Parts: sequence; C-alpha cells; structure tokens
Amino acid sequence: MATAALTSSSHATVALAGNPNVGKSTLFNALTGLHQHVGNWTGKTVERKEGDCLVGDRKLRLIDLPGTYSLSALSPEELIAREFVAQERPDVVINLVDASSLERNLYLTLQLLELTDKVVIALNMMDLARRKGMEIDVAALERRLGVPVVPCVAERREGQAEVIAAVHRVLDGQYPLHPLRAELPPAIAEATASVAKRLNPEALGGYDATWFAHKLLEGDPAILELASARPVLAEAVAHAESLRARPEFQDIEAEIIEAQYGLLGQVMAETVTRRHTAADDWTDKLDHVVTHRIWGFPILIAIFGLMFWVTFSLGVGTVTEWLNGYLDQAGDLLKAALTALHAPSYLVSFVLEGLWAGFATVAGFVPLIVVFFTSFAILEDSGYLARAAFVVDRFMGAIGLHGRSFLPLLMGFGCNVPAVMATRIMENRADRLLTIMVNPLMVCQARLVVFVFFAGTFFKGLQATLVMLSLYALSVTLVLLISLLFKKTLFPGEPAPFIMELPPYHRPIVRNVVSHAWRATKSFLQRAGGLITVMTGAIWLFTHLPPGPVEHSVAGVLGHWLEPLGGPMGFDWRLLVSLIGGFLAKEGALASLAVIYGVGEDGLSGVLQHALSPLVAYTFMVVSLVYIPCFSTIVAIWRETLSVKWTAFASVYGLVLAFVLGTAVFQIGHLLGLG
Amino acid sequence: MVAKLSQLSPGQRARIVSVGGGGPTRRRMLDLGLVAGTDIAAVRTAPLNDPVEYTVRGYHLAMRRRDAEAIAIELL
Repeated sequence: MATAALTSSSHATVALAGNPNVGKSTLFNALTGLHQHVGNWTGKTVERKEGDCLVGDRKLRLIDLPGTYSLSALSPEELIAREFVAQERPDVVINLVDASSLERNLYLTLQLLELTDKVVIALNMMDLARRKGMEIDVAALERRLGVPVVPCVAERREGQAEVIAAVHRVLDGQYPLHPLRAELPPAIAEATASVAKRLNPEALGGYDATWFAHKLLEGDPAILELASARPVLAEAVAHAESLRARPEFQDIEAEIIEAQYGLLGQVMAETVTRRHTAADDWTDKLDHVVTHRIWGFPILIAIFGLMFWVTFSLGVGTVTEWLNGYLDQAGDLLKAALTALHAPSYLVSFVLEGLWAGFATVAGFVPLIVVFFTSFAILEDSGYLARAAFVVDRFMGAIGLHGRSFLPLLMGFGCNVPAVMATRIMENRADRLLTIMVNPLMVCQARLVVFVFFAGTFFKGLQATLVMLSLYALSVTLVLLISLLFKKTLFPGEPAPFIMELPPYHRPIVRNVVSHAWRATKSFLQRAGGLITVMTGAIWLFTHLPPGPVEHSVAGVLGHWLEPLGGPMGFDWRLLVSLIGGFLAKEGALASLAVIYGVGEDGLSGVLQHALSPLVAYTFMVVSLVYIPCFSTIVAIWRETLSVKWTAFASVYGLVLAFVLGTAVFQIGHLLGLG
Repeated sequence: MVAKLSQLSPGQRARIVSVGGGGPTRRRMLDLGLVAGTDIAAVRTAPLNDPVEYTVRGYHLAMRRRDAEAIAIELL
C-alpha cells in the first residue's frame, strides 16, 4: 500500500494558486530552485511557470497559476487558473494566502474549494498580520476550512517543509478533507439543483455539475459560451435563462457573493482576534509621503528618472560599450577567418554586415533588457509601481489610458522593445493594446541618435535645441492625440475601470528580481533573437542584390518607384531607401545614408549639408519619428499581442501618419519660404 | 443618509448599501469584497484628487471616482 501511494504520488501535479502580491513567486522559486520551465499558457500572453519541487523526498511537479483575486473569468489570468484547476485536475492545489488581508484572500479559497477538495492553505505573512494587530488561531481556521492550514514565511523560507508535508498527507489520503462551502439562500440552491439535474455530466468539460449550474445562473460568459456550443446542454441553458429572468433571481450574482463573504465574516470572527494597534503600519506612513499632494510627483519623477538613468547609462552606456568592444573584436576575427578561407568578398560582407550585424543588434538589447527588468522588478516587488499608477492615473485617464500605462509609455523614451514587454502589468486587454499601439510614437534612444545627428548637421546653437524640443513635443502630442483617437474609434465604449489593490510594501527579494530579469531576457532572445538576425540578413540582400551600386539594387529600384510618394515630402530615392535601413534599427538610417552617398559615417554630415535643405532634413526627422516601429519592436508587439492583425496595424498606421505629417511639414515650410 | 462612495472624503467611514452598475466591473468590485453591508473608509486621494484610496476588509484599494459612483453607501 505504502509503495503504491509512493508511486502514484511521485509525479503528482501540484498547482500554486493565490491573490496577486502574496509572495507566490517567492514560494515557487523557493520550492523549485532553478528547476523551472517558463513559457506561455497555450494561446495566451500570460506567462506559465512550471518546475520540480525539491523540498521533501518525493518529486512533485509544481505549476504556478497566475495571481488572481477570484475565479470569475474576468481576465485571461482568472480563466487560466479556473480551467487548470477544473480541467487538468491537479492532485493538490496549494493556496498561498496573505494572512494580513485574510478575508479577501479566503474568498479565492472558497472559489477553489468549489472546484476541488484537495487544497492546502499556506498562510503567508503572519508577521505582517501580527503587526496589524491580527492574532490568527491557525488550528481553528483549519477546522473551519476543513483543509490543512500551514503557517509559513515564504520570504525567509520558513514553513515550506511543513507545507510540502501537508501536500503529501493530502496526496496519501491521510487528511480527512471537509472543505467549507457557503450555504446559499434556499431559493438559489433549489434553482441550482434544478439546472444541475438537466446537465449531462459528460458534456461539462470537467466541471462539476452544481458549479456549472451556478455559473449558468450567474451568466458567466465563458461557461455560457461553452454550454451554447453543446446542443446536449441546450435544455439546461434555456432553463437557466428562464430562471434568470425571474424577478427574485435578478441579482443572483451578488447574492451568491454576499453569501460567501457572509460566511467569511463568520470565519473571521471565530478565528481572528484583533488588538488595537497604533497607526496602521509603515505602509500607511510611506503612502502618505509617496502619494502626497505636493511630494507625490517629485518623488515619482525622481524614482523613474533614476530608473531611466540606470537603464540607459548603465545598461546602454557602460555595459553595451563594453559588450560592443568584444562584439567588434569577434567580428574582426570572423572577418579574418573568412578572408583566410578565401571566401568571396560578397560572402564576407553578407556574413558580417548582414548576419553578424543582426546578431550584434540582438546582443546589444541584452544589457538594456537585463537592467530595465531588474529595476522594473524591484519597483513592482516593493509595491511602489501600484502607487505610481495611483499618482498618475488622473493624467492617463484623461487620454483614455490607465495609470499602469505610464511606465511602459515612459520607457518608450528609452527603447520600445522592453516598453512593449512591460505592458504585461496591465490587466485589461483594450488598455494594454492601446498602450502598445501608441508606444512606438515615443522618441526612443535610437531615434534620438538620428535626430541629434541631423540637428547638429543642419541647425546651429539655439536653433538645433529648438528643433530637438519640437520633436519631443511632437512625440508627446502625437501620443495624446493618437491615443484619444484610437480610444474613440478602436476601443469604444466605457473606459476600463481603475480598481487596483495597493499591496503592502515589502523589501524586494533578490531571487525574485533576478528570476524576473532572467525570464524577460530569455523570452526576448528565444522569441525575437532569431527573427531579428534573419531580417537583418534579408535587408542586406535587399540592398546588395543584384551586385553593383545601391541605386540598382532591389531596395534602390523600390526607392525610385516610391519617389512619387516621397515627392510631396521633398524626398528623393536616397532618403526613402535610408528609411528602409532605419526599419531594422532606427539608427540604421544613418549607416544606410552613408552607404548610399558612398561616404563613411564621418563624411556623411558634409555630404548631406550639400544634398539636402534644412527643411527636407527636418521633414526627414519628423517622418523618422513616426513612420514605422523598428523591426525588433514589431516582433515584440507580435509576441505580446499574439495577433497578426494588431501587429500589422501597429506597423502600418505610422506610414500613413508619416506621409501626412511629412507632406504637411514640407509643404507648409515651402509656403513659408523655408526651403 | 444614502450617498455615493465617490462622495466619501478622506477620514470618513461608511457602510456599503448596494453595488450598482453591471458587467465585469461590478463583478470585480463584488469579488474584492465590496458587497452590501461592508464597512469602507476613504484614506486619501491621489495628488490630482482622483483616484481615491480606501481601506476595506483590512486591505487598501484604489478606485477612480467614476467607478466608485456605482456604490451606494450610508455614512457611519
């Protein structure tokens, strides 16, 4: 018997569920160490983490479910957690609960207990609860919930062996489970039973009939969709519909939730004693400062300014320079090797300027992503990011965005790739898509390089400064206007609500921060690295075939064809082709111009001064700002939206906008006699 | 006296009478424990007066005033 239990549970699947910000990642990392596999939930942009649990003598497969407050299917996260528990039927669910906000956390517990009996409660943050004056009678709570309750401090790795021991007791059937369930008002219970008995249990996709009946009565969209696709359930669906139409069942949803919170109120009264404590705790004191009417904004600017500076001076400046040094050396070695092998000069050029340059571009992103996501994880883990969203929400709401859009937009001033990846903190899909769509309008550092070069070449002193400022002003104005326009046309309807928990502050945990940065980097390299390298190679072929001057290459011919479009903006084929180079990486426009004019980048300034008027140069800068996200950003958009349609839209709307703006700037400038 | 949650000033406490509105927003509020009979207090407002931070069921929750309008309260 003992052997049978051992084998049957040796590959047991254990799901980890809990509210956001309760320390789920900390516990998951502590239980699995580096034995993790990170991917996405099938067809979703939500991260899926899975790993082998190393605590205890038997191996467990641990799956980290997304952090959710409920299992109502309001978001992809909730739907994933719910479907996993109901359909994949994990052998045990560890429900990590924040003892300091016990009542709200136990609401999720009740939702889990509706789907499965096999739950182990890991009661985290007992220290914080105590500081808040809550004394929790763990034994009484365990008796009341009817499943094991194990106190732990995930951050200090205390109690994790006990949690795993409880999991094994449940796996081995040694714990008598009597899961607590809310008693519903009699009329609702009766209605549920009458729907449930009309349900064919085979057709419920793994869900329990009573639970399914509940959801039909509540009008749960995901369950309604599932049910209406199955003719065998039609009668039950119709019956539930007719019940829902009755006046006494008008608000069945609220009644069920009230019954659940009512029960939790009783549980709290029986198991928690409250002492009166002086002031809330230091979360409250810190909040008083960081959301202060006067100090709130300066603190926000200082913190994000520091983050920006660290990312783009440490990340891009120091580390990238150091990395580029090595990449250049490696490139030289590669060149020497190819030459030694008597490779044709064409091949050498393709390998170096096509493939190797693509690889170097990808490698160049790595320090930036590592440093950005390290500081991002620190801000998020500490709890400040939620406060920042709270402070700026009024501004963001005015242009149809969400407080949480602020950081991804701000990061657009640095680099759109991590900025687009950072929109993962946004829960609502419409908000998230809107933030992604307008992000490429922010002047990133690569465009800054192009602008500085052009401003320095064509304008002097104060004039150059004004030109730069005008481009930043244009960038921010476009974000505002385009965001409002898209909000009105593409995402019409009520703005998504802003209802956000402000979690207690806590010290960021090194292991979580490192793991966050590592996952972001790995995901970028795996999903974008290859594509960017291949694309760089393809563009090289585009501009070098057939052999000869650029003018006669495929890109050059295309540039000539496009001249009628370039005309109204004052562009000839050369500028148009350089924009193709800029598509790979915005600063690539300069390298392309150098090749087209047949000079080194040092000589480019002089040649351009003769070739272009300042008005055309300025028009070129405006067009460069908006015409298309760089290829790396497009890949990031595709990975984050998983939608070809939205990726295509994000890539193309800029072209139209660029043509309109470019034409307007050039024609108006021309009328004003500027060139 | 019945009022809207959006009218509650920092420092004031109230009891929720009902949660209006509908759809996912209402469901989210209910899931977070904003059900009839629950005590709620306004703590502070963001620098530009909106959103507002509340404490409810022992945790802190931020909400825009336009969302809080859907919640009817009686002052305590």
